[in-house]
Amino acid sequence: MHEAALALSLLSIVLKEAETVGANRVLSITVQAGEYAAINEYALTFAWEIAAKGTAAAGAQLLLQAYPGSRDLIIESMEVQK
Amino acid sequence: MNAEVRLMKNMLEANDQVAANNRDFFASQDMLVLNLIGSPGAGKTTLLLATLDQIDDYNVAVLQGDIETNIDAQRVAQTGTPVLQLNTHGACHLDARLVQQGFQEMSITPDILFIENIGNLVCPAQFDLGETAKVVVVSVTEGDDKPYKYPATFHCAGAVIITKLDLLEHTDFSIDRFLDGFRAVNKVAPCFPVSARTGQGLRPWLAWLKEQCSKVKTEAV
Repeated sequence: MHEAALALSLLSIVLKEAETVGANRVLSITVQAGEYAAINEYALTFAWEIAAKGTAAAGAQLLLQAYPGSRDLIIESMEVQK
Repeated sequence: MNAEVRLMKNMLEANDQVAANNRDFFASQDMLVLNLIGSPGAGKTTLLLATLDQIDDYNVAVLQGDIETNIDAQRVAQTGTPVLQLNTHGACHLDARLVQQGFQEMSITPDILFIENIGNLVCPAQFDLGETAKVVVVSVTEGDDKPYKYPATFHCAGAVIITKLDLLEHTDFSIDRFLDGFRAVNKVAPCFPVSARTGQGLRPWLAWLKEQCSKVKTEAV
């Protein structure tokens, strides 16, 4: 239900990091999604696609990896084009 | 040229940073801060009112979260307890910044601060407010399957309160089945079955509350 807030938070972190490393485009993002993070992949992907529109992360693929026993949401890595 | 950038960053870092500041501040003031989480109608406010009635010897304040209206803040204000209504206007959870702003606006430092979250058994669990503990409130009329259906929320609970115990005989709620589901995701948090209406079972909950209060003060030394 709060995936829109998460997508915006993800976008702000990803854009900042992309700028830091001098990337033109973000191609994909890998997120470790804890079992107890209460995240719906479909809702997060949907919110992400809308949030990222018109930015350097537009169209970037979200790859969610399930982590048992955790409630953390960690942005593990991203693939960028320089 | 494509490159992989390793990040290992917390997706909720903006909220969690403010929550960490809140937690440090609350600890520096020896405050016990409890984040009450439960479905709409679980009986969070009624439990809160019954609790306020029994802890006269503590300075207590309440941050009352709702999507709209100040109905619940008015109920709390009638007890004479300082209360501030936080309206999220649609958002399904309170976040650390709302709590920080609300608490600053109140400009008091109570022994106990209750934060009643938005009625929702899913999203509030994900947003740290800087509380000492989360207290999950679930009523017998909601059913004993809640820990099975909402494991994330029960996993992070510091205590669970089963409310409306006076209605138990009219429902199929089994405390054993509830506890089996709860223990599968949370081995340590205590569970208090109560009726805020009749006062049944309130004593162990109040004892826990006072114990947490002393713990916060001892740890600060």
